[in-house]
Amino acid sequence: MASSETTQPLIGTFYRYHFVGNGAQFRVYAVHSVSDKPTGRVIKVPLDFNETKYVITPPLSRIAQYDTAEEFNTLADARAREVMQFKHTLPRLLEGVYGRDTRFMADLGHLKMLQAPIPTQAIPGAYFLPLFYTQDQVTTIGGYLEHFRFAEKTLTNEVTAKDIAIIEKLIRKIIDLHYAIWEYGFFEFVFKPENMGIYQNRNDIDIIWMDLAEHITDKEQAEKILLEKRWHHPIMPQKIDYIYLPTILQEHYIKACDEAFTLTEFRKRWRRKCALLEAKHRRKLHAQALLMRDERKIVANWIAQQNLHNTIYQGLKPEQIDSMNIPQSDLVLLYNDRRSILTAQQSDILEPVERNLAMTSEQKVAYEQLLFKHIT
Amino acid sequence: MQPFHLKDKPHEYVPFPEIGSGGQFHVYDLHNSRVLKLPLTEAETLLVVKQRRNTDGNGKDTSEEHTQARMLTFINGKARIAAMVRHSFLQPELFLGLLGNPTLISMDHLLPEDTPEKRWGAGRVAYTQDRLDMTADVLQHLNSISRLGSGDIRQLQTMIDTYVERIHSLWEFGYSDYVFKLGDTGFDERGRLIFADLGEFSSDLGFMKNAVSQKRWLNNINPIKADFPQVPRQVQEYFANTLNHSLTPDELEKRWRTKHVCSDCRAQDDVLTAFIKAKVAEIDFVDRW
Repeated sequence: MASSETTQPLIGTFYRYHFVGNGAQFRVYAVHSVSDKPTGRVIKVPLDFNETKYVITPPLSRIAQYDTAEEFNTLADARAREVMQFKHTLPRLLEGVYGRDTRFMADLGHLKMLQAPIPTQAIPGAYFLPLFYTQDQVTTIGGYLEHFRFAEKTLTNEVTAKDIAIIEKLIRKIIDLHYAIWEYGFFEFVFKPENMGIYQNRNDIDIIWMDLAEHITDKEQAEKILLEKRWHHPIMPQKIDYIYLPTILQEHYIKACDEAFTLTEFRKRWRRKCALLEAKHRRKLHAQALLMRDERKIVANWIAQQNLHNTIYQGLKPEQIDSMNIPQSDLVLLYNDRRSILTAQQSDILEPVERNLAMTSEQKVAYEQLLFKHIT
Repeated sequence: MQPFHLKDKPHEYVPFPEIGSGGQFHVYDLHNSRVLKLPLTEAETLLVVKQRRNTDGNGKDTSEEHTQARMLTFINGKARIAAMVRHSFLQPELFLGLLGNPTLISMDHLLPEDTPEKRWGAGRVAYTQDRLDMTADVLQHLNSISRLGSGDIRQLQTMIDTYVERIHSLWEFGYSDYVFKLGDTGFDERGRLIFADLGEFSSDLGFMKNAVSQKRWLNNINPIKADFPQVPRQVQEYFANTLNHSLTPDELEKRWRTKHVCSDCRAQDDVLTAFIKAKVAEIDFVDRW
């Protein structure tokens, strides 16, 4: 995620909004009070088509195959649409039993949604109807890992035993979070560490699923992706769409992920929580049916039982709608703010340096071999 | 602006997720046991029509030449909804109850004028309706199960019987669904079978006699008809026998409009209707009075 420290905050009615970064789907602003105290929440503002295209163009131009500018433009349009589509799957994370599940909501950083029509100047009387989200403010993995850039195990003053314990805990927590969301029938299909965010307490850390758009719910597709071992991408310097993990973490990270992300572990956990929830609701309906005498009501109850796999995952409760009372005028201001992305900078300035070093070092050969192994 | 009450809590804006869409409407959950149906544009309808192309069993596309015509049929079907829902039955709740209590939304100031990019044509209608457990989802789920239990079969048979009863009730009000797609029905919170898709209704007895003679409900057990959720194999025979026996042109005529009590259709209006019918059907442009 790119970020900017230099942009002045947007001054809203009750809040100030500090731009903290953007991905390909959202611009993220820390919400501060009028007196500029952090509220502990961020607001995620969806990127429109042009912004999305602007963001995806540089990495795409380095990996796409094309002959003419026109061809590239068509590719970029298609990719931008695809990226925008992912956003449409986000509300389902908050609906029905998901929204009522305290543990799952905590894993999502207490994500909440809000919506407001944004007038467009291009067509009089027409509106955009974007979905904004608010979420707990956390430290990005990029920012957190900065401490470990260029660190070496042999230099004990650089990495302490406490640091190593924290690294191990961090990796374990990332794995556990993947496990947790698998149980709810979601599969984060890119395995980007930077899609996770970190709560830092004094002696402890906790992880949330911060960038939630890159997920699928299809088991077969998930299993195929699992075999690709995409968690290796953060140690491949040429994978520029992934954060490059500090060298010191790489061995342990890959070993732990290889052991954890197996088909056996996946199948053991996939939709386990969903099955429990569906069974619970089915038992309830079944108990109701036992007391019914009206034949039609019995049929309707049976219909409800057959449809449980859809219906318990639908419906929005007031708790899932943001309660910060962010005024509509602020949302218009945020939606129309186009300064941030243009001035966005890399949050972890050492990351590209370490990546480039890896690209030119002996390690490069190993990574290319690894990549070659995956391709073949 | 009036706030929307979500479980008694007022909200200025509430996201209403799209929970489905068919050939005519997008369906949004209003979180209060009701749904909102907003019309598809012509371009969206065309996409659906293309996706739903049926084949003749030999893989040949039967609808290629008729795509545009089918698209217009979808659009025009929506245009009839307002008149049907507003019909001045003396006890409208009985009729509207069969349709999930639809409430029309005035779209005069909401839908923008048609533009070349975004056209609604004649289908400029939107309404709210009771939220239903859709039969299409149930059929899809049951078809994914290799073998149905005896309890499932019994419930499906009861459902088919209820479907016939409800069609008879519609006929008594002088309206009928002319597609007979079982999947387009659903069950409300009180367990009543409801006709969810209001865009495929007719009040024309002659047209309906023709539709009934064609036994269009058999599309529900015809795997070539890709746009019909199929009745599970184990009850297909029961489905065909029950509907073939109960939905006949004679039965239609016997029941048609027997409970149609309203303030619209008076005797003198029949003369007017006859005149309008004759006038619009007139082909002699020269000798016009």
